Amino acid sequence: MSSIFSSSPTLFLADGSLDGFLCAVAAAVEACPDPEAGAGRVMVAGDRDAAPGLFETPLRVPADPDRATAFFDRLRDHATAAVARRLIHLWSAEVPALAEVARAYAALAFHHGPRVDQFHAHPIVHQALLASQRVTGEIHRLKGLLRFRALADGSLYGPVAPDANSVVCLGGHFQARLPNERWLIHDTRRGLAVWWDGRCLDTGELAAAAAPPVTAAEAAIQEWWRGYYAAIAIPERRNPVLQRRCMPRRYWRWLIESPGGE
Amino acid sequence: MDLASKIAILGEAARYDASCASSGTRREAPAGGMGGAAMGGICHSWADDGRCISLLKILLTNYCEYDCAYCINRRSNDLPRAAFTVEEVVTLTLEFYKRNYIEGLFLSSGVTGGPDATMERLTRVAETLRTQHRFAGYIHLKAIPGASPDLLRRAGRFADRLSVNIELPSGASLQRLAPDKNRDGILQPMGLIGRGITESRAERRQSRTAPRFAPAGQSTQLIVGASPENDRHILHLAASLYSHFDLKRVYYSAFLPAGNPSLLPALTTPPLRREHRLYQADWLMRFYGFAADELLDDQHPQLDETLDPKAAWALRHPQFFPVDLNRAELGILLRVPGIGPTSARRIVSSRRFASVRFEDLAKLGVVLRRARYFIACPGQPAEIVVAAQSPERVHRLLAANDPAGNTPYPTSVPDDGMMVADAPGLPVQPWLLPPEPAPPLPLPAGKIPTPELAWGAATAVPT
Repeated sequence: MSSIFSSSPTLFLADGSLDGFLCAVAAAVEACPDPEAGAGRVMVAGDRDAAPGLFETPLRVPADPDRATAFFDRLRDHATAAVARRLIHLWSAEVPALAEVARAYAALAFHHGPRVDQFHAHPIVHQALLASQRVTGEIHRLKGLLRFRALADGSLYGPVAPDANSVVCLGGHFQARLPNERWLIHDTRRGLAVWWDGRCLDTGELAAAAAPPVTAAEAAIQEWWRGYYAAIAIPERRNPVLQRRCMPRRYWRWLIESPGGE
Repeated sequence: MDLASKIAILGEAARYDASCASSGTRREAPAGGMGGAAMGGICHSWADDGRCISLLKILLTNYCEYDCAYCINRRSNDLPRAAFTVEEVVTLTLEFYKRNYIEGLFLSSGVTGGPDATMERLTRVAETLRTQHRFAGYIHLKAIPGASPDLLRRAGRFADRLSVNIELPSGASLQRLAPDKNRDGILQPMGLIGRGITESRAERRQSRTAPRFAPAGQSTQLIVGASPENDRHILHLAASLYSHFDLKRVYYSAFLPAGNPSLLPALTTPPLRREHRLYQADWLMRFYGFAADELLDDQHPQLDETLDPKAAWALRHPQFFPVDLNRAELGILLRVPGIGPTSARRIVSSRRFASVRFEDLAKLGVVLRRARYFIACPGQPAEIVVAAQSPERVHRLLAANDPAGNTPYPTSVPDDGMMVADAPGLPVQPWLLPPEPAPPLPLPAGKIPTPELAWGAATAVPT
C-alpha cells in the first residue's frame, strides 16, 4: 500500500462480480479516503483499459462477499441506502470507466454523508447520478416492456436483452405481482436468469437458447394482443419519432406486438 | 362474432379517450390473487401514434343511444358494432395482465338501456375482477353521466380511478353538439366522486382498514377544436375543475375530423400543436405555481403555438428577469424558462455547497437554450446578456429552438408524468416528477372561476 503515498498509484483490480467490484472500491477508499486525490484508481480486470500504466502498481482484490456486504452497510449507514445502491447500479451498467467513478463517489459519500447527492454540479456526483438513473430507468422501462409467453406446462417465460446487468432487479417486482404463477425472466444477452417457482425466488446462469415453442392457445392470445395494439393507435396522429423515443428499437425484439407495423 | 373481431372494433372505438394513466395508487396482490399497482404508473408499450399503452383501454360496447356529433360511436354513424360480455372482458384482462402486456383495465361503454344499466355492467366487470379473481391491477372505470349515485359509489369501491368526460368546454357547445347530455348530468357525478374521494381519504386517515374509494382520483377530458371556446376559457375551466373537484388530471384531446360534418368545423388535420401547448400550460398550473390568469388574459386569449407558454409568459414579464440563480427561491426559479421542478430543486441543493456557475447548469438539468436569456449567474457569457435586452430577438431565438414548434410532430404524451413542459427533449423520467406542487409565489394569483361560471361564460362565445 505504500505506493498510494508515493508517485506510483495503485490500480485496484476487481473481477467481474458485484462482490469483487464492491471489494475493489472498498480497498481503494480505505487506502485513500480523500475523494479528490485520485491516487488509487479502481478498474475492472479483464477490460482492455485495465492494463496498468507505466507508473501504476496493479493490485488484484479478491471477491469476498462478507467484505462487500460490510462495505455496503457501512456506506449505507454513513450516507443513505440510495447512495449505497448507486454503487450497485454503477456496477450493473457494465461501463469500465464507471469503476473509477464509483471509487470517487463512495469517497465523496463518506466525506459528505447523506448530503452527497445534493452536490449535483460536482462532476463525479453528476456522472454517478446520471449512470445510476440510466440503470434504474431501464429497470422501470422493462417492468412494462417485458413480455411473458405461457408455455405448454403453464409456466411463463419472459426473455429480455437489457443494456445493464439488471435482470435480477426485476425479480421482486414480478414476485409481488404474479405470486401464484411460475415464471422465468431470461437475460438473453448475458445468459442469466431469475425465476420464481411459486415458493422462492432464485437466480442463475442460463445459456441463450431458441425461443420455446408457442402453443395454439398462446398463439391466439398473442394474436388478440396484436389486434388490440393495431386498433388502439389513431392513424391521424401517427408519430413514429415519439414512439421510438419512448420505446427504442432495441427493446422491440422480444415484444409480442409489432410497433410501426413491422 | 369472434373475440378477435370484437377486440378490433371495441379497441378502435375506445382510442379517442386520451387517458391511459395507471398512476396515483399502490396496490398489492391479496393472498391467492394477482396483480399490483405502482404509484408512478408503468407504461407497457407505445402505439404507432406515440401514445403510451398502460391499460387495456376498451369499450364494453360501441352501441350507443346517444347522438353526440363529435363522437365516432354516435347512434347515427354507420360503423360496425359489437359488445363484449362481462366474462369476455374479465378473461381478456387477466390473460393480458398475466403476460405483462398491461397494467390493468380502462373500461368505458356506449350507453345502451339507459345510464344505470350501462354503469351497472361496467361496475360488474370491476367487481368480478376484484372479488372473484382477487385482481389487484389498476382499474379505471368511466362514470356514465346520469347514472345513479348508488352505482357510482359501488364503482368507486372497485375502481382505482373514475372519470366523467366533459368533452365540450361550454354548456352552449354541449347543448349544440351533444343534445342527449346535459351539464348537470356531467357535473353531478363529478361532484359525487370528488366528495367520495375526500371522505374516503379522511376515513382512511382514521383507520387504515376503511374502504378505499377511487384512490387514484378522478380525471376528465376536454376536446380541443370541435367548438369555438378559446384557450383562456379552456384553461380557466381546467383550473376550476382542479380546485373544485380535486381532479387528478384534465386531458386535452385534439379534435379529429371523425364526427358529424354538418355540425363540426372542417379540419384537415387535428390541432395537435394547440393540444400540446394546452398540456404545457396545464403542467405550469399544476407543478409550477402558475395561475390560469397569468398565462392568458383578455389581450392574449390564445396560447402562442410557436412558443411554450412559460417562455411566452417570461417575454411578457421582462421586469421579472434576470433571476439570480444563487439567491432566488424555489418558486421563483420555477418561473424561469428552461428550469423545471427537478433542476430547480437541484439548483437550490447544489448552491449549499458552492455558488452555481453558468458551466454547472447543464449538469443540473437546466435547458440552456431557453434559460440563458432569463438568468444571472457567475460565468455567464456577455453576449447572452446583450441578447436578453432585445425581447423580439429572444422571441425569434426561442421559437426557432422550440422542439414542438419546429417538428411536424408535437411532443406531448398525454399520460401521467410523461411530458415535462420544460424539457421535451430530455429522456422521459416519470419518477423524477415532483410529488408536491410548487410553493405559492409572491405574485398576484389569478381569480379562479367556479365551473358554473366557466361554463356559463361560453354562452357569450359566438357559435
